[in-house]
Amino acid sequence: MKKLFILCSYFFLVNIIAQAQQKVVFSSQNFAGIVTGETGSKLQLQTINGIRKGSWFTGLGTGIDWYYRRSIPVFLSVSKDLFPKNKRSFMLAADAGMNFSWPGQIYYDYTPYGQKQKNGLYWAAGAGYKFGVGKSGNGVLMQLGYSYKQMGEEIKSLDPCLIPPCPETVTTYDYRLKRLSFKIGWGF
Amino acid sequence: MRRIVILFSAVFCLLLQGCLKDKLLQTYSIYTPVYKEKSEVYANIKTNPAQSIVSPGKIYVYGNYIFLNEVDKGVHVIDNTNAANPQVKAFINIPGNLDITINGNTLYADLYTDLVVVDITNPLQARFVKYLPNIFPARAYGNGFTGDSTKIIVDWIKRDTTVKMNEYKTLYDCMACSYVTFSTGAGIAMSPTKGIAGSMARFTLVNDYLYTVNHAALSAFNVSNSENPVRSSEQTLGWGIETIYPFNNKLFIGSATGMFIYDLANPALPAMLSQVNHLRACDPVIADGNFAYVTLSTGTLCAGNVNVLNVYNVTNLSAPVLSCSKNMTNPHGLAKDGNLLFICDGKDGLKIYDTPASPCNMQLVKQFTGMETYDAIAWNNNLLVVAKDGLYQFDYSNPADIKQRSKLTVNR
Repeated sequence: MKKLFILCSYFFLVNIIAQAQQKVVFSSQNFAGIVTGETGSKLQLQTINGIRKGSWFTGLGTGIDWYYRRSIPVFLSVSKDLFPKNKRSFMLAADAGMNFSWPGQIYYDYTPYGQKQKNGLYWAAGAGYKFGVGKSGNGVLMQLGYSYKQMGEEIKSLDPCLIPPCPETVTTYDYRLKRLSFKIGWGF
Repeated sequence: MRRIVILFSAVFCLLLQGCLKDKLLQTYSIYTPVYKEKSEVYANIKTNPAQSIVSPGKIYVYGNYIFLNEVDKGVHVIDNTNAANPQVKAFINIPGNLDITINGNTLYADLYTDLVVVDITNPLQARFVKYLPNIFPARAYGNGFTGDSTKIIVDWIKRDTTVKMNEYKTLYDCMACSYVTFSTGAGIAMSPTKGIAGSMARFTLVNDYLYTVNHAALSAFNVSNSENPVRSSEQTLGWGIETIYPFNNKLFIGSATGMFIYDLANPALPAMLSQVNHLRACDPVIADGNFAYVTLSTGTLCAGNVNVLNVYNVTNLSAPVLSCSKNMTNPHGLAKDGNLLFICDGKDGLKIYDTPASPCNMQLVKQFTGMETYDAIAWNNNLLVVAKDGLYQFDYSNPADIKQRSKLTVNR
């Protein structure tokens, strides 16, 4: 995972240097979509803001992902238009970062004695299609891809007893969630 | 173009189909019992080198010594000659021990289902005297583990294990599958030859009798010959019996559903004077003069949904009357000395109230936070508090300036 990230970053930088002559502009991609996996389909919302240079776009992204347990992914996103000269173009995109558990959420039908949420990795990769609208860079974006998020929690409960201190039970959960992602949005 | 899109999407979906399986891992501890021969266990009920306090249970004050239960392991012997610097001197191994009480030179303790008698003429040279079998039959090991006629569980080995969850379980589904349940307790009521235990105690001594409660029954033992207790009676009180507190030749018994008052006119066979019911909750009880103080708390086996201090007028012991209730956070043990009422309010720490002639007008004079408290003993201007992180002592000789004297830290 780490190696893949370093490799992507390397190619991205090489390309940036190669296109050093091109103009850098602020760019934003905003998506709504679904992620679907073993536990069903859930909504995801994302906003990625960064810079565009030529056919490349990179930015810092965040959003809300409701799959299994609501969470907030924060990631670095890189995407490339494959046919930048066309109004309509295929694109490839990759995201990598951290997935943060939604704070203060209790998912049980009882109140645990103690609960500590844990964060994990987030990454996604996919291909998409851009329908250019209006001036250069604006357009409707559609992406289909694969998305992984990891999160966890540590639940403390008290074993039943009449007289405290009751013994504590600690159980740790690690959720590694793999989903298909479809999202549609607007880029400018 | 359209064909390319459709083809690309189809291939993409097929490739990923096998990669959409979530991986859910659950890590929990499994405890397996360590058995020892009974003869070996009884031979080891003696003073052993001091051990770290890991899981403090009930406390008992006797002279300059504090006896602190190490849940399910035994009793720490603490020299408290200097309350500002208590010294853990020794450890008496009593597997399965939760409750203790002292009569002169004799310590009584439970060892799972048995009552053991230990000579503590010199607490630093304790000596096993005898045991009475099957006095507390409900003190089973839990989760299907049992000793047999020749062996006793003396320890548990903890091992963390990680398993793949087959479905989207929550802890709630698996609480019973991963653990051996420990029964446990914490607590503390002194006469010159006896001592002081706390409000969470399940053993108490009145004159020549030892009284014990288990989850359902009250037993009386004649201990006039301290090394040879003889059970004189056992009576069923109902489920959820928790604590026992002696006052004015009466026994105040706390249960999950109410408070019982028993008269000791015939000490061999206590007789029920009255009973008051309350909402279902754990309820240690103490009494002082015309009032009984009961804390109701939730979060344990007692269930319920109430966290209060109830004050009962017990002027007429046959008909206690609820005088008032005061909201608390999660109150457990409590102690009273003079006008000062000390309440262990769980994660809210220790609360100290000034109770005038009418306790319902009590005023909070001090609160110590940052500790999760369970029980207290107040005696001779020294307050002992058992908390999750250790054994605290406070000087309350000046109610306007109550200070922490010392802390024996738990070494988990």
